[in-house]
Amino acid sequence: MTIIGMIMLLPIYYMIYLAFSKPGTEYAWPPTFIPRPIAWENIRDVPNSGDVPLWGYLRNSIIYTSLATLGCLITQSLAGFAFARLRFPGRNLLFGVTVAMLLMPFVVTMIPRFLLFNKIGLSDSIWPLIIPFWFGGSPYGIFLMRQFFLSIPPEIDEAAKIDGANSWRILWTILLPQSVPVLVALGTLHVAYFWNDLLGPLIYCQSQKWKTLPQGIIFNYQSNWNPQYALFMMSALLMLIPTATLFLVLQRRFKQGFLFSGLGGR
Amino acid sequence: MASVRLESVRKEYENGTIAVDDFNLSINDGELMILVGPSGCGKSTVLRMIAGLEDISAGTLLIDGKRMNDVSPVTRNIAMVFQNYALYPHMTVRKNIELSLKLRRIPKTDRKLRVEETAALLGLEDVLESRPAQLSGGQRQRVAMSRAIVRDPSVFLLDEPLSNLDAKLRAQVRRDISDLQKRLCATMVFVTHDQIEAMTMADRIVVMRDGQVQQVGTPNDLYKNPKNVFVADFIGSPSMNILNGCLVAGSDALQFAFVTGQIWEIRNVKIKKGSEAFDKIGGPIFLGIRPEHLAIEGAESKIAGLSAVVKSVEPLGGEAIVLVELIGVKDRASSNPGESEISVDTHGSSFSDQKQTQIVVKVQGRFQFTVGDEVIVYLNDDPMVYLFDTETQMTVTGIVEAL
Repeated sequence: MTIIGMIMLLPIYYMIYLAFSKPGTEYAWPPTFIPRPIAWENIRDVPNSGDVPLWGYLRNSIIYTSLATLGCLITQSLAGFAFARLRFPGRNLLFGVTVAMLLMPFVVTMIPRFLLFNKIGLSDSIWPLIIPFWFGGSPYGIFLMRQFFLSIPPEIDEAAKIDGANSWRILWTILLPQSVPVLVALGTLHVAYFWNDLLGPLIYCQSQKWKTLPQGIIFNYQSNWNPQYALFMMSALLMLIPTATLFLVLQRRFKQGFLFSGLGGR
Repeated sequence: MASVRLESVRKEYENGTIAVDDFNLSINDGELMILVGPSGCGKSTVLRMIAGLEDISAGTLLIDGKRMNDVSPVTRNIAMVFQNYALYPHMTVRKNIELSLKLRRIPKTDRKLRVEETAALLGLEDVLESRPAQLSGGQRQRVAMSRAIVRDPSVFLLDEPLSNLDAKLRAQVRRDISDLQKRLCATMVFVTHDQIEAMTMADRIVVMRDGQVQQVGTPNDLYKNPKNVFVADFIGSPSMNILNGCLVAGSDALQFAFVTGQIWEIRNVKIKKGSEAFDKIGGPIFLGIRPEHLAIEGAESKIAGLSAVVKSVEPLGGEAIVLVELIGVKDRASSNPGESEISVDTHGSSFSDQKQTQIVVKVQGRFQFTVGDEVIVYLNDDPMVYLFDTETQMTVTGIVEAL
């Protein structure tokens, strides 16, 4: 296991090695275990080193990640609540269809979706990346929220109903405050996905002003004839910091979320 | 407080299951009515229909004379205590109690006052800022009660609120709820499957089976005058012994013949001439005797009764529950009781073989026999026997006791 673990860590080690190498000395011979000298200045140089400063990309990534995550959490909570608690005709069929959507890969809907957004004139922007997530987003999140709501005894809703709460109030005042662990878990997964998403932005964000961070990093350091691997890896390394920090800080709640929703292992 | 009336109420689910049918009940203002029955008999469904948590398929629900079938739960002005208390786990006790007032937009100062008054009534002042998870079972139960009381509802509905408590605490909370109900003059509808709870707390009891009312009456009434075998069997602990046989003509005393032909003459009980029971003489009958109305003597005793062998003894301190297996009838003159054994025909009967050849006796004081001893079982000085029709299972009247 340790050996397999070491092998898995090798690319990360290599990324860190390159990130701290002096530009131009990435492939120096003979190779060393740690780069000599350690190029700390890469951290300082990265934001403004490429053809285009990274700040614009960063802004787009933050907008994309935060709005899409927010949309997911809101709509998945609503859909999960509806599937778990409300009685309406065709509920089970609709839930079956939602779960079946888990099996459908993104690439299947990629072209029709692009054509749709192209038709309404939104194709060259980050909005096609955000808008679908305000309409439910991933079925996985809906499924997770439904499972979590099902784990809360229905008598709690009934007590609230007798106390005078309507469905909105039950969701907002009674169920969502109890759902913090699962929302944190789901939110972390979404943040990681949107932050690192490359395929989506490559489809929709053609002009420079809409490019996101992963796209921008590639554009800056790999698209020309002289790739700067040290700065490329440093920007990738810096890009990891927000998601890694988020996961480390919320690690306990993240695990709780999956355990509460009945989807976690022991 | 208010009165509650259910008229021909029916609950039928979408899949065709009928949970409650032709349910008629009138609950008076300030009355503690207990719905009792085995699991799945529909008692919780009735409560949920009163609460507005289940639609009523047919019939009418009236609270204080007003039709409530289509009125939302909050407008019915009822309060409900759930079996698992259904406290909001993320809120403090104060917020749990306060929520209904907040949703009714009662001013903050009034809310605070009412929450504190209610908490004081139930001794919860010290835990107002705690969360439900930090409380004991008894405290949680009291929070659930407070949440109901604070709204000043017309009717309290309690769905098995004591079933999560240990035996000692249950007895305590039982008394507390009874006291509270009397103090508040509250109309309460209480659901339980525990007949001891029903007997000790209720003003009146409704016994239910398969979604239908079997009998409504005071605890004493149900105990003394059960309407049918089901009520007789359900009310009383341990359950009434039901024996299969037939009534025999003869002397003044009630004569019960086991299907083998052996006749048990119960000398201190007779059948009134011209009564329903009198008409049954010569026909099949179920004989019901409560365990507490039987007594046991040693086999060498001269007393007349049923010969039996002790199968098990459950000593409870001040009394013992004894299970005996019948082996014959012993007449006062007979010296050889086991001569012909009792065997009971179960054809066409809903009672198990075991139930008819084994009977339970509740013995006061110390029980001197052990398993395997031969004994005589007889009616004690406070005899109460019941006769039931074998087909309709309804009580047959016309017995006169304590000659």
